[in-house]
Amino acid sequence: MNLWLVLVLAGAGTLLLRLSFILVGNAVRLPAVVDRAADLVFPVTIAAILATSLRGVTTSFHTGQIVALVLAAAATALVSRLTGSIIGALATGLAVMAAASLAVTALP
Amino acid sequence: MTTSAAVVHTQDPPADLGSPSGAGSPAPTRRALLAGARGMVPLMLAVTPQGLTIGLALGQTPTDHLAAWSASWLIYSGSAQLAAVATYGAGSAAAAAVLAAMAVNIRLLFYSAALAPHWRHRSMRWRLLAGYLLVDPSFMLAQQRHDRPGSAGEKAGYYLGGGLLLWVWWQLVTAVGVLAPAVVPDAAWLAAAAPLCFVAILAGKVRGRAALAAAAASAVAAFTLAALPWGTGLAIAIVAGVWAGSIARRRTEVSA
Repeated sequence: MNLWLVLVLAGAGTLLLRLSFILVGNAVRLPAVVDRAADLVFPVTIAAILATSLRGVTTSFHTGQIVALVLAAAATALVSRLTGSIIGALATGLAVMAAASLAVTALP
Repeated sequence: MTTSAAVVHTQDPPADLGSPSGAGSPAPTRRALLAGARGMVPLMLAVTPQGLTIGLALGQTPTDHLAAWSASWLIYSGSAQLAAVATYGAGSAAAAAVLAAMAVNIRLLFYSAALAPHWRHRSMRWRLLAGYLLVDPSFMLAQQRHDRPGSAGEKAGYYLGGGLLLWVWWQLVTAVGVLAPAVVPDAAWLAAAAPLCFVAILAGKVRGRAALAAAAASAVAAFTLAALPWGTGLAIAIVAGVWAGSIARRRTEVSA
């Protein structure tokens, strides 16, 4: 089997996963327990992806960069909480990350 | 009590919907599409480093570059693209490469289940397109929009606008990573874009004991299990988080 066929099959399988509940939504009503838990999927998913990406990033960071990331994350969370603006929070976080990384590099 | 952005309406159809077949569902307006595109910008920026890096990794696998990049539109899911191409490139059985990609994407089942009630009354064609565009950032965008007031048509347009922009952007950044690896910067602050964006979303939207417990349990599990193969740690973390959140919610209800 060549790579193209692998990709087509993987793509088709992935599409099936995506469409599974979306397509049967009209015909099937989800169990009440699933319905009740559905609103938790969002925070849970974001938190899981955040933790996974943090793990990936921090394994390649040195201590100074990890400190910079912690400061940037705190600033991001604060701005997000106060303003509700994701892009504002992200811009603030990236600015703090860049500044803190420079400061750490400049340290003797 | 609703504590997060993920408000799932399951009983009553939105007021502006037409026939249950979806034939009467209002078409997304241009304004809604543009609003969705604008809403996607921070998430788009957040996935850019990942897109460049995945493109770079795809370009380095011992396979046809065009085929490797084509995973961006055939699979359209970063980690799964890499899993399929890398597994195949490493000489594993083709079936293993397909399974690897699907295992990484198992979380899409949860997204599909969470969004299905919102889209129940959309047309089949709309749901096919919306389903194809369903990835982490578009799921986040949809959930954020469902939490705010507006018609079903506006929410659908918002999702499509953001989802289509992200799709185009993803094709571009992965192509740059494959074809021009020299332009991929190696800056720590850039690598931090994705986690910081998720922090911004989490801090702004997650409120209430159940959602906090769910998020905390999920984060701890995902961090601990990140080394598990094929993204299974992520799927386990999602299940663990929902379980913890459900327990916290039940306890809150009992004590109230």
